Amino acid sequence: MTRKKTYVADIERELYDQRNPFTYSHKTDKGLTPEIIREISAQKNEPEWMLEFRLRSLETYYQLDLPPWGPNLIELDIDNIVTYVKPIVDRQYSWEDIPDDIKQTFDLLGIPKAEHEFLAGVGAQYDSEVVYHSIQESVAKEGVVYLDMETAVHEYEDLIKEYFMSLVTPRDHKFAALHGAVWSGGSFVYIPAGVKVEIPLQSYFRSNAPGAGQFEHTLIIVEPGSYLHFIEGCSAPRYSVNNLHAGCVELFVREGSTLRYSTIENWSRNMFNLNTKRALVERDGAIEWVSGSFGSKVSMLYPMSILQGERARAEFTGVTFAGGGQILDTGAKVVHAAPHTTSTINTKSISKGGGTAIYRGLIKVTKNAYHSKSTVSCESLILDNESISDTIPVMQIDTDQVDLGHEAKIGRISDEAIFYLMTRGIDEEEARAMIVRGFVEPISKELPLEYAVEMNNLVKLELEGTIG
Amino acid sequence: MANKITQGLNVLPRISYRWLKVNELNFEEAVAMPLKPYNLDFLPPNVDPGLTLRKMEPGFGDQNPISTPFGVSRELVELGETNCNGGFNLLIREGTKLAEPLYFKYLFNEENDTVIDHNIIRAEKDSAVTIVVEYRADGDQPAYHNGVTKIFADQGAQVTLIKIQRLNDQSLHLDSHYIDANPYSNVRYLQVELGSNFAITNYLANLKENATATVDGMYLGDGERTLDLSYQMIHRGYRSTSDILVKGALKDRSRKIFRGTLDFRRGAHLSTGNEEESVLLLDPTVKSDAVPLLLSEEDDIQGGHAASAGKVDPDQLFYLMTRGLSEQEATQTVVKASFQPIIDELPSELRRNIQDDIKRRLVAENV
Amino acid sequence: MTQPFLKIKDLQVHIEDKQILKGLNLEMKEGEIHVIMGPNGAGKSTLANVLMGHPKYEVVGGEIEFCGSDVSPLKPHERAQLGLFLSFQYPQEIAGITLENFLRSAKGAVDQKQVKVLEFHKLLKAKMELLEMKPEYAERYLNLGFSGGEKKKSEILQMLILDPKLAIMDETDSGLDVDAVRVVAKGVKEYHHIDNSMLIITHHKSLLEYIEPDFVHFLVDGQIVESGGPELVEHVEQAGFAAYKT
Repeated sequence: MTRKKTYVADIERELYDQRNPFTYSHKTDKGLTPEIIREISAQKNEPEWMLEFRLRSLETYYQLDLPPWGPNLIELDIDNIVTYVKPIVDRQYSWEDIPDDIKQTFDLLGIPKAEHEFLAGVGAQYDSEVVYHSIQESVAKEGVVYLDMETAVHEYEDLIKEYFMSLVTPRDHKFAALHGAVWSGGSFVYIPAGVKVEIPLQSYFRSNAPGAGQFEHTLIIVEPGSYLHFIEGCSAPRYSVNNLHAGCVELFVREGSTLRYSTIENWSRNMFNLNTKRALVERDGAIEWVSGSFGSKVSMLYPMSILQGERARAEFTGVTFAGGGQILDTGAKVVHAAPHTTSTINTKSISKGGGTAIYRGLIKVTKNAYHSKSTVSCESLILDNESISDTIPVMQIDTDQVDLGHEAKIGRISDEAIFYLMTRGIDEEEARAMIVRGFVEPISKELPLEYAVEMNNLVKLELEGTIG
Repeated sequence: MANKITQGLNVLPRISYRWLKVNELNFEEAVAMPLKPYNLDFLPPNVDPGLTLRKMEPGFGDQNPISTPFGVSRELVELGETNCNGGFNLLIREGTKLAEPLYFKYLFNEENDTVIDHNIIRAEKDSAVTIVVEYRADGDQPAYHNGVTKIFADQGAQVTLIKIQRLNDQSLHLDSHYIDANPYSNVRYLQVELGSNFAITNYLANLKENATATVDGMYLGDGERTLDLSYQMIHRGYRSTSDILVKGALKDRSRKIFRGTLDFRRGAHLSTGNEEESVLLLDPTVKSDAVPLLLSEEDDIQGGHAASAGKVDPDQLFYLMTRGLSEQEATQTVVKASFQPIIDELPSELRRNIQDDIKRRLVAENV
Repeated sequence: MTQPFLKIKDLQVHIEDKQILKGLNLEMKEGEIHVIMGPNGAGKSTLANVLMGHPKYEVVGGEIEFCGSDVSPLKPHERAQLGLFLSFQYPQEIAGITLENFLRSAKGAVDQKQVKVLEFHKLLKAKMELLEMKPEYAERYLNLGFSGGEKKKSEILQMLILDPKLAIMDETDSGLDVDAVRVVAKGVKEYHHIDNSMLIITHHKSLLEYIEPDFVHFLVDGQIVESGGPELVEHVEQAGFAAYKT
């Protein structure tokens, strides 16, 4: 079965809901105890320091409260989430060796073809464990390291020890602490100095067991003068038990480097997506976030950029689409901590069918961040009067030499615009879809073609209400 | 006798990340608000027959209690209602349109250093009135002010409320406003904040169908002063219109937080709301926070906000300097120009004093 | 064929409890050019919008027949598919969709068949050249930031591409400079041939210096009060509409 391309025919939602009867080699007990943590660490054969780190994080987890703001997380019964599931296969480096049913799942998501055409390598996560991983020769030759996190802990121990959860620490909030204790899977990427990676690196995630959590950790270090585009795309089938995703992404952008981090999040409708993403940018460095948030039951997602060096730059372009029964609480945070730094935030949100879309943002300019400039633009489209859209931005400035502009708009699709399109022969539903696609175009044009097409299709599916 | 004030002032309708500490204002040490009489005259001298004007009685109970929580804090609103030593109860009868503004002036001195005023303004159908309230404290003696003002504007009524605060730098100014804008009414609020160590104000308007509520505010922060200005426009009825425009300038080590909320509730279709906040930052030691919230559960509305902060435009400065002004004079000119649209709305008698205050504060220390 | 292909009988239209059209009658045959003139507020734009089925106008009496069928149950896009086109007085700006992509979709919708990308591109290029529009405009978002003149050209361009049976032009020449009117007239001439018709709503005569109408009507206070040949245009230039007002 091959993935249908979306610009010719519609993609069916069922493709995303492929479910295999699961036969896993190992499954931890429900409930979070130090014993379970030890079990996880032992399974991965981890060095002592990582086990200690996990145990300290677990302690922190029990000390911290849930955040007092944001969507209600009471429904999430964390102690009943089975955190770690390892499939029967061990890690593979070649596609041919993978068992058929697992292969089928990835076939549906189009990975093999994509690998040949687009990508340098694929790290695909299957239920908390990296199943398949390969790096194209040309990229490996330049010294680019692209490994799953577990292997990296062994092969690049010093680097991992120094960087792991140094940017997002377990003390930051309860789900960061949880992540520190039970993290599993994810990618480690290291780009040596002066290397510009031509082709985007990409990874996929899946959660396939009822009640399984997703705690993958992405750690990317881009040394000075380099370039990388990393794509994170997610998909998960729907289940009756609440699913949790508490991943963590730490990005270190060194002097003069640029990192572009693109994501389409398309979690199934019962997922709690509480993801923490943070980038630290040094002088003359740049972080470009491109983000499309769809799916999940509740999302709390605020990629944060810390502009630590002079002339560092952060750009955030994002779209959030909340349908019925969804609360997508997303935003962007930028801290200007050095002079001559710039940030641009451009977000669009759409709420429909009773969905709630919330933009929660922050621009913070510290005392020494003189001559900083920031432009924020948030636009919200509410498609009917059952839905909700809230914009909650905060601007904190501690210096005078700053140029900060923020604007936000909320409204609906204008009847006049729909009429105009209809007088050109386009039916009402298609006219609406055109306007909404036009609305999110600034984001889709930043994504690689496959993703842009996937995103447009998601928008179409969401508008039709065939999802949820 | 004194009332202690500490925490939970100007709480945001939707809170943000805890670590930013913007969700509310808390005093590190409790501040005491004295409770004592105010013996100076503040009422306007003559009263039009179309009005009923009386000094406010402490503990005066409204026939229609206000169900929406409002004010700098619930405690402060209650304090204003039960222990007021000033304030007025004003009724403007149906069809009465006052040509001249009504002036209420509170002067503070050593014996009369506390004003707790509870004001109720009821504007009946198709009436029109302009009310000016001024709080002034010269010298060094700290002044304490806690005000609670409620405006009930009936169908077609036009009410303009102008508040001018010129208390010295040792003073405490707390001011809560509640507006009930009934269909086709128009309530304007002009706010001038030019003093106090802490100026903490709160404004909330409930807009019914076809009502209009606007805020034009200006402030100048200097020295060690702090301003916390909160505004909430709640659109409940269809075709309601709101507009918030606040302009300010900050210098020395002053700080300000602007909290503006446009809230469109279900049923407020065809409503429009606009919020604009801009501040000129005149020294590297100032702090400026802004939280412009835009909330909506109704699709057929138009809501927008714009917030900007920055130094005086160097091109503007350059232009003025090529016409012979020093940098200092040019900066003052630009700051005063940004306030001019609001100053022009004020009755002419008041403009001089305000312009003098601005000039005095801009010149002190630096700038 | 000489049967009327647009037949408007006793049309009465309300908007928000106010009656605008009070029994309007008009008949057009294929290939004809009709001009409607009238003072402001007479109902000219209302007529144009009602013909296309704008939902905010309520038809409370009378009927509209196009090519023998009653259009009242039809939605705007169905009317477009039937061969009606409206060139708007104030065209909408739609961000995020390019002029070319949008027009290609519209052509597909109106013709009810797939449009070949390359073929379309050539067609678009040719028509844009005719209308003296810079090629870059094809890549710009639909009408976004276009000057008044460019917006009107964009409307005519759409008309040339979609090739409707009946093109209604609502004040297309208003706000245009002499040069722009000349170009718009060029487009209109290119469009007009034996099988299609035009209903031109205007209240200046600048476009009419290039185009000879078959019939001229005056719309005053929601009704057609006078109909005649092209000589009526001169008449109203001299005397205005005062004589017709009730």
